Amino acid sequence: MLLLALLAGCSDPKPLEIGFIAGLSGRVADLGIAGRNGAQYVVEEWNRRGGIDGRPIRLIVRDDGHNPLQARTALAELIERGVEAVIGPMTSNIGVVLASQATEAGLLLISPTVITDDLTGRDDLFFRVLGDSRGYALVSATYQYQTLGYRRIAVIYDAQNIAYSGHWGENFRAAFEALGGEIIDYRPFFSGEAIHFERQAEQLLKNRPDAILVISNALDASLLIQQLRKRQPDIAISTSEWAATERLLELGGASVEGVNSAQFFYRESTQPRFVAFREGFLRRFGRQPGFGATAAHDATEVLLQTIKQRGSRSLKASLYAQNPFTGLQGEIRFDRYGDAQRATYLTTIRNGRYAVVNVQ
Amino acid sequence: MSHSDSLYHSLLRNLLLVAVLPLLLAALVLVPLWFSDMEREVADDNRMLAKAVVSQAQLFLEGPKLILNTVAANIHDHPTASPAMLAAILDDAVEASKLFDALYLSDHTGVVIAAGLPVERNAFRNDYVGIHLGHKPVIKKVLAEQGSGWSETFLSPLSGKTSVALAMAVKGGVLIGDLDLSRLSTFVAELQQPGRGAMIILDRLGQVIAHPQQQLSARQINLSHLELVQLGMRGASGEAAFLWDGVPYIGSVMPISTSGWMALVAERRARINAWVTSASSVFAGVALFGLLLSIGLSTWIARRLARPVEQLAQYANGIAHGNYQLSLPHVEQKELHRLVASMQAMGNAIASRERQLEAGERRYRTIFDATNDAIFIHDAETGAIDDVNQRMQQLYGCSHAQALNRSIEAFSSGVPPYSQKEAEAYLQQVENGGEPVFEWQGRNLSTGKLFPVEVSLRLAEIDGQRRILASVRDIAERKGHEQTLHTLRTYLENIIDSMPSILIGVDARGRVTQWNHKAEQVTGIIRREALGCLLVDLLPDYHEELNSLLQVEADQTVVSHAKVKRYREGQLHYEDITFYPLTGVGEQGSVVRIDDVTEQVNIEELMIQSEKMLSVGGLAAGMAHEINNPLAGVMHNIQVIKNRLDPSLPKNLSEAEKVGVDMAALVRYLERREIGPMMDSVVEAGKRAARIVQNMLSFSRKSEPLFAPCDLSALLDEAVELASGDYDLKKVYDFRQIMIEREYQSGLPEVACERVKLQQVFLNLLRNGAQAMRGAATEAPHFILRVYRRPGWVTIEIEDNGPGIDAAVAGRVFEPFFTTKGVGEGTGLGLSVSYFIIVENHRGELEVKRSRKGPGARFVMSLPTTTIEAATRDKQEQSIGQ
Repeated sequence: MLLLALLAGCSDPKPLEIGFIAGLSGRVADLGIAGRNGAQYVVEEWNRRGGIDGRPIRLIVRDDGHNPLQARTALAELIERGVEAVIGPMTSNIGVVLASQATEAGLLLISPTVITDDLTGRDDLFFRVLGDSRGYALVSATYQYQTLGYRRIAVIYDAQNIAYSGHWGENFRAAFEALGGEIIDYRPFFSGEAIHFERQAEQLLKNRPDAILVISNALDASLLIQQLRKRQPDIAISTSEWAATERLLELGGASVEGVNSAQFFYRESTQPRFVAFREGFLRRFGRQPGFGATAAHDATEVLLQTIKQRGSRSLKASLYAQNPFTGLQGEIRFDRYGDAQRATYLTTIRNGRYAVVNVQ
Repeated sequence: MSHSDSLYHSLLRNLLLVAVLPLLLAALVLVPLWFSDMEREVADDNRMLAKAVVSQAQLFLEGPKLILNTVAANIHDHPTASPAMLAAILDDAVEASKLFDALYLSDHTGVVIAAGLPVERNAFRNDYVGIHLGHKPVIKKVLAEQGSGWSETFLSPLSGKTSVALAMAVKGGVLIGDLDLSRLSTFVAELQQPGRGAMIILDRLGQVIAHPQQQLSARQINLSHLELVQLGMRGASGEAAFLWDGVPYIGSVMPISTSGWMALVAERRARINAWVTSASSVFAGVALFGLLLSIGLSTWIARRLARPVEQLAQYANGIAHGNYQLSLPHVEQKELHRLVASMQAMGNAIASRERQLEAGERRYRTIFDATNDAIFIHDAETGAIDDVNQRMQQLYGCSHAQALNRSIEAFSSGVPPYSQKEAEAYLQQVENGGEPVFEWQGRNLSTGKLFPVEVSLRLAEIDGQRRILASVRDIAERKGHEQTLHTLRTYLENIIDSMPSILIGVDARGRVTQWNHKAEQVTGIIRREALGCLLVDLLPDYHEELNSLLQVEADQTVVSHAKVKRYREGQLHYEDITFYPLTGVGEQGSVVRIDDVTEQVNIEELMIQSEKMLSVGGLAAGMAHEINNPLAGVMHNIQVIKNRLDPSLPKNLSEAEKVGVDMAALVRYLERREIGPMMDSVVEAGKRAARIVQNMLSFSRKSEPLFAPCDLSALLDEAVELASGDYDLKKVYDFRQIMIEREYQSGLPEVACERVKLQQVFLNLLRNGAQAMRGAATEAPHFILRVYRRPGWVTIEIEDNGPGIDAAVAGRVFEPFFTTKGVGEGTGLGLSVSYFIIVENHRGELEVKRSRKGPGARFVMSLPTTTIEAATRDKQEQSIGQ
């Protein structure tokens, strides 16, 4: 007995678990992994400061495989496990699926990057640290029509993530046509291994557009842009903010020079909070934080503060009690539907970096 | 000594200690040893496995390099190969090796000129040809430095899996192979033993690229925050304990030099703990068995050694208790045998000595028990009771044995001053050479009754030992008598003290023998100080009356002085003083009785005043009626005269014309002789007379008063308000400069009264006070207004700090026409009207007194609260009637 007693150490307080769900494999893995790193960074930072009320925080990471069925299973598993709340997902198609599942289970879901219009104006437990796609599409359309003087644009979008790209495309089309421009091609593709990017490029260039808008993830965008630039090196190209990650630069190399993207994220920001984060992140993960990591940082920070100040309230009530929050690049103010609007930045890739050309 | 343990238990305990201690020490030493041993073993295992992983990884990385070399040689051999042919060479290499996802050949700028793909992706070939790879660091490096190099790991655009590229310079360009690292995970998984910890490969950034659970290898899980991994990132190997995902591990890291990666092998600390726990359980089992065995053995040994010693102890105990017939125990040991023989001799000697002692003891006991006092014999050192006699047992209701077992306190009331503490103090006194005799309170143990005793203590030497002899005499009877006497005396004193009069006993020489409570109160001299003093010294103010004492003593008669005036603390008091001769057996003397009859005298005076007022009031009212009629005639006729002299009336003109008087001339005459102002003066005087008469009329209670309940405080406040605006008063004195202090009791009942009349009273008093203060030029003039309740009454006081009213005037202020004001300033009716309103109309009381502090007058009026019920009833009847 004595010997057994000698072996028993003192037990640490039970960790406080929060879930993270995103596509960590397959073609959207870059965004998911960036998001996970952002969330993990915040959790490690909080744990260094002693966690919440002395309890360490544990991030329970699940891969949604960018697949609705796998995502639902993963979320059910997190609900079963009894996590406090979940950060994620990172893509809109999955967001649409999980928002209702989480709300039914009474679980708070804070997404870093889901911007589909499908979830706009819903009073549920789904929150996001940014607004829907209308803002980005409008800024992009205005810039291309007014500043760059394009009149005829061909659009290609990833129908695999239609919840995102469908709205983005339609919003862009509405804004651009309202200005007097013309969408001369509007074609979907299904992200996956069986895409002939060369053929897509050929079709897009056929009607000699002034510019091409790509609404897809960074991997598909980089492959497509390689093909477009191979055929017509001077073709003007823009992307939605989904593609505008570090991976686009990494995979696209010289071929993505001059590509425009509308973003909610300003890499050159000198705000001290952001600079500290960028440096800390670089030390921790050996790479620059992209928009996925930054947005996940904000979402996780919002969640942890909400949990910390919860008291006897529901998490939703606690979140609104503290609204607005300070994000890495400015204030995050949730509206009554759990959406937060942000500034939009238009960037152009110059010398392998995103350079801001205007701020809206 | 009574707490000492038995020999058996002591032996048993020590034997057990000898058995258990080594086990415990062994456990304390072994467990930490096992831990460190196990840790070392795990660390060795980890290191060995890490080495294995490193060699597996290097083997994995060797293959692609060999293949690329072959491909490079092949390309070199076909310098003029077409792009299609180059693609075929690359395709073949991909298919044959099954290692690469794709092979690219780029020109010297990094643009892909040929791509080798697995068969299933051949259709997509054009997606790869022409793309730029020149921006990738490894290609830049290889282009610059020639040779070959491994890229950073990346997520493959083709498969989405973690991949790494091997770049090798060839003539005019670079050969690049994309390697799917999931195969590396498979490699590592083969080394993994089931149930063991982690075995992983990390890239240069500290990201997991190979893991037995393959899906974890594609998630770029970054472990660079672990110090051990940082060590590996610096190209060093080492061991460390670390936490991963909240789980503690012990791990080893070892660099893979080919690619800059590292192998990390770690074991969960829980496994070490589990091993040590199971080893400890085995040890604990063995120890438990040993423990049980030693308990059995120890019990047997202890019993064998302890038994003869126990028997000897019993024998000795028998002797100690006078039992000399016990048989001696049989013992085997030589030492114990000698002990038994000596003990037997000792027993015999003791038995003979005891018989002699018993005889002496019997003699002593007879004497001891024959006395009439209870006797306690105490041990001088401890105070414990050593012996008692029979009388003691009777008196205290206990047996001899009971007496010896108890403390002194048990035979006392136990309440100070009869507790153990005081008893010990007396014993101490004896110790110090005293022989105290004192009273005590004893307790009968069988009845529990307390009884008084007298105790005398002295030191004595009995049986060669110092003892304290306590001789105790029952004094219950004596005490009873004393108590009765005391009670009687107290009772008499209480009677004397309860008298409301000052009662003083004096002996024949004039010295105080009795001084009651009232005397203490009035003179402030307490009884203790007064007794024995000359009465004249104590009451110097009474020296005149005290002369009567001589007469009383001489004649044995009663002498009284009634209503003797005396000022005490500035207040006039009346006293009746009576001297009685002390009749009865014993000493001669007198009794002085002094009664304060001030209240009584005041009441008498008040009654006289009241009677006087009534008769004067009646008289005045009668007079008023008589005066009223002729006055009305005078006033009326003056008005008529004025009318008939008015030249503007036609009747006057016509009548004058008839008698031949020129009206205008008459008017001139009247003006010349100032007839008009004279008539006005008559009217003024008449009005004044009428006012006086009106006031006098209110002295009689002819009219039915209109009583209604009202709040006196509020009414008083209204009067103050009225006084502030009083024009007549304002002419001479600004009432608002007078400070008003209010001391109103809250929650007062309403009182039935005539509001207007009471207000008139308040106003009169306030006005008089204000005028008096002005007249005396009082500094900081103020009124104190009090309204308070006493049983059956509500009392209002109006006090000023003016010059006050001296005693002579005070008796007359309420008389009609009595005034101290100058002629024409007052009618002398204000206060008497007030008096009638309060006393006659309201059945109340009105007195004038001195201010409570300093000079100044204080008018005190009280109204009965009882009439309110009558008033309410009247009102209800009225409303019913309506």
